[in-house]
Amino acid sequence: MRRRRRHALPGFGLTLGLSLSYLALIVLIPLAALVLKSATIGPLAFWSAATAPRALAAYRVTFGCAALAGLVNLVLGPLLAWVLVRYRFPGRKLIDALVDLPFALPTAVAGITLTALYASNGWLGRWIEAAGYKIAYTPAGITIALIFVSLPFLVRSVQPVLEQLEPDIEEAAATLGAGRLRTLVSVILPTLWPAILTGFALAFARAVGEYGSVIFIAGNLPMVSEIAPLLIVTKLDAFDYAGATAIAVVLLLSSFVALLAINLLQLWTVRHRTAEAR
Amino acid sequence: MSIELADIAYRYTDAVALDGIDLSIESGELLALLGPSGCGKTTLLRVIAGLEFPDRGVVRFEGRDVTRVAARKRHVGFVFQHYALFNHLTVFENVAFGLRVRRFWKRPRGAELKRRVGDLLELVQLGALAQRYPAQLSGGQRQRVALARALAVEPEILLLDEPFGALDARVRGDLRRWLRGLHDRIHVTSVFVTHDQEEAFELADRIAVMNHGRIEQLADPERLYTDPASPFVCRFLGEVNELPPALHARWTGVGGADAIAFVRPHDLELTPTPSAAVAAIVETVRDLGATVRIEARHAALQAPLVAIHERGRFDAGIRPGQLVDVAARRWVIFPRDT
Amino acid sequence: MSPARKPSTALRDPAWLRALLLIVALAFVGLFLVLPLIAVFSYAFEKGVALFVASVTDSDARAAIRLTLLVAAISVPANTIFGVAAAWLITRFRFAGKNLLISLIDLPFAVSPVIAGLIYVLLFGAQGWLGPWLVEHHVKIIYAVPGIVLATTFVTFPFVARELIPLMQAQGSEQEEAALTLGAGGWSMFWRVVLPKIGWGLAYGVILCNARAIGEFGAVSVVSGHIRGLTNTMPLHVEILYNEYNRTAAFAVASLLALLALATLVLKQLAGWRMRRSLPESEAA
Repeated sequence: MRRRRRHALPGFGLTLGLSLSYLALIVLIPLAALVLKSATIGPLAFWSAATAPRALAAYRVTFGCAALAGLVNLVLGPLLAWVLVRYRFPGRKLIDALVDLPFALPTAVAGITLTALYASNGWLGRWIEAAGYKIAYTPAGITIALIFVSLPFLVRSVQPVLEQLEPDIEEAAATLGAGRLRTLVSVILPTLWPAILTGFALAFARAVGEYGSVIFIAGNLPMVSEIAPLLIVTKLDAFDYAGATAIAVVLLLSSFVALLAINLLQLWTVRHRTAEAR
Repeated sequence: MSIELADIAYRYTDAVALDGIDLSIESGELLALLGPSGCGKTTLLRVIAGLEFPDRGVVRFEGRDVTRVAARKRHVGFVFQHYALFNHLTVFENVAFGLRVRRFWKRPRGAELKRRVGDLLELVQLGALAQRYPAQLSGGQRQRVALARALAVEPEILLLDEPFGALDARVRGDLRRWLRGLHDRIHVTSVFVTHDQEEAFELADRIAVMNHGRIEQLADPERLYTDPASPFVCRFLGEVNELPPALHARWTGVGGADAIAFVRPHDLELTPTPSAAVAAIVETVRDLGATVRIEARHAALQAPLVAIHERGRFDAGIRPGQLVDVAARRWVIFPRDT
Repeated sequence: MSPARKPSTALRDPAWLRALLLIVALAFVGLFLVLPLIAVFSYAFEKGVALFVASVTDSDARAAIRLTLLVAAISVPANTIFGVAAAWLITRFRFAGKNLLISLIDLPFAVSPVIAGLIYVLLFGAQGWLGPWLVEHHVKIIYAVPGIVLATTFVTFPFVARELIPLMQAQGSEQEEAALTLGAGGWSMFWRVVLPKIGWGLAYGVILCNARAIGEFGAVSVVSGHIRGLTNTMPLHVEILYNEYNRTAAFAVASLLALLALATLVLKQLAGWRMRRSLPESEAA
């Protein structure tokens, strides 16, 4: 029976109206088109489009390379964060700023640059091919591009945690006789896990949808080195809206699952590790 | 400008902040809202200011219903606990703010503005700091700027939310005295919120003691101390001994298992006695300079009895281990609360 | 938010470990970040300055630059206004569905740029929902500038809001309330109190939003139709040049974008530093 209470601060109506209409226009209505389209395709057609051999191959390439890139960054990202937070060396601030380069650099620029570098006559490519390996135009190339793209996530998610880490637990481990390496592995690493996993999930979600950085260096051969986003574009060009939609939905679902995992992980962290969640 | 609150109620989603408040504040009065955290005193202050709107009830300024009037139109000065100074503006600009945002034709200009702001800064003794920024000031100085800023718009009501809560003890004392002096000069109706009983007693003409969204008692400080309306008020205003009938019936004449006598330490009299019948045993005797604090234990009580005697009153010299008789000069009887 | 006390020197990692980690980290950074950066500029000037200048000033390049700037000039201010409004709404009021709103704002980050383009094609494309209606009224959205603006707006719209929300949350609303009691009206309070408070956070968000708006590739690629001189943004122009084996020209235009990226990094650090200074913790009583 309460009267709806008035707000003392002004602007509720205005900002609510503005936000909702903008959201509806830019995000909700177009997304509704996607949902509608998937609904009108019909479950059978949807399933066959989403699980066609070419699509399955594309998922393999996309998820596989994204996971591999994530794993590489899983090791090297926190390592880089450690070096940036704990060590002092000339150029540290510069490198710290540079970590955000993959965020700031347009994906197409990254794409052509990486391709030029790893192609057979490229600065790196020539050494690699001399050794008998090929990176450009293969899934390996895709992985390299995705390493570039997801690098910042695994550094930036770990850095703040490292910065806030109180030295107490390390000092306690030292007084108990643990060597430095042992301390790093058994004491510090466990406190970083939630942040590392969060970074991994964010990186994965981004890598799965990545387009511009990848299509130049990938071979784009169907069934071999074709990523899912490219498949979507190809189908669109052929006016196969239904096929494109089906694959898009699969990608979206995987991103949402990754993000859901992050949210659950963060909830778990707060509940079970409240001491760390300062 | 008098303030009248009638049946003010305010609810959060899962708790009641104000439970039907009736309060009348006289024009020119300095009233304190005193209570523990969570009792609703800040909420009540914000309702008066128009920073919150109550679910029920009426707010009147000098008889005019302002319950639904927006804060900016209420002409109240508000001083926040953490000052809420505009950090990007100088002290001068902070104080001038209320004058600058007025409607075009009501705005004082150039020299007039400088004069008014200058006068106010002199009033709060911060004239020399006019061009500094809040980050460069101490806590006490910031609070004075906040006060000057609130006074700049010549409010008819001044509201202060735990104004000295964030300051250290010495500064607090100085500012308290200074505020009282200011009020004596300006006579603006003022309401301030505090959880510090000493502060309320020192500053206020009248005090409203609040608990769980209700006003337990509204009276001047002396009355509150000598004639508390409830056990809560009694306990909140300072240390108090709570004696069961076994201890007090002799000299209060009030029987009944439920009657608890509340006696202040200053009013408790402990006299050495040979008989162990209703005696308490002295535990500690602490010399506090002008007074002596004695703690004694009695079988019928869990907490020790606390008595504060004036030095020189006890020629016999009470020592730990001694048996003492318990009596009181003054007391209040309340039924035992469950 | 102040950094924790550093461990005492007694706990420093042994020298061999430090050297190892440092070398690995620097090699990683060198290989993946520094080398590509150097490569862009190196390839751009491979065939001399004259060719570089020609590549970035020919008519198609100029058209691409113009279009890119136009798109940014529309989507960044629009997203800024939305960001401020949404942040005010979320941090100053209580209402049902707030968490849903916050999730919706984060949505574009979970969506592949290609899918961002796809949804607009499904809506406005020739075979889309509104396709026939648009054709009838001679309105072109897909394969025309409006489509590019919409897709870019979608992809960049969380940036400003996401920066402002935690900032305004941390700053609290006391100053706004003080302004109210002093008689300030809504707009007065906004210009005099709110904007100065959030200034650097707003700048930070705008810088990020702008960088992404200019550099967006996937979403724009889907909706643009790649019509030279008309619907090519700079990133698309780079792609066309590269696919035509006109490598140097492609890198020439790309180097402009890389320059912008570097400027973004610098401005970002600056704004971020100033923003952190404006948080309440930095004002100890």
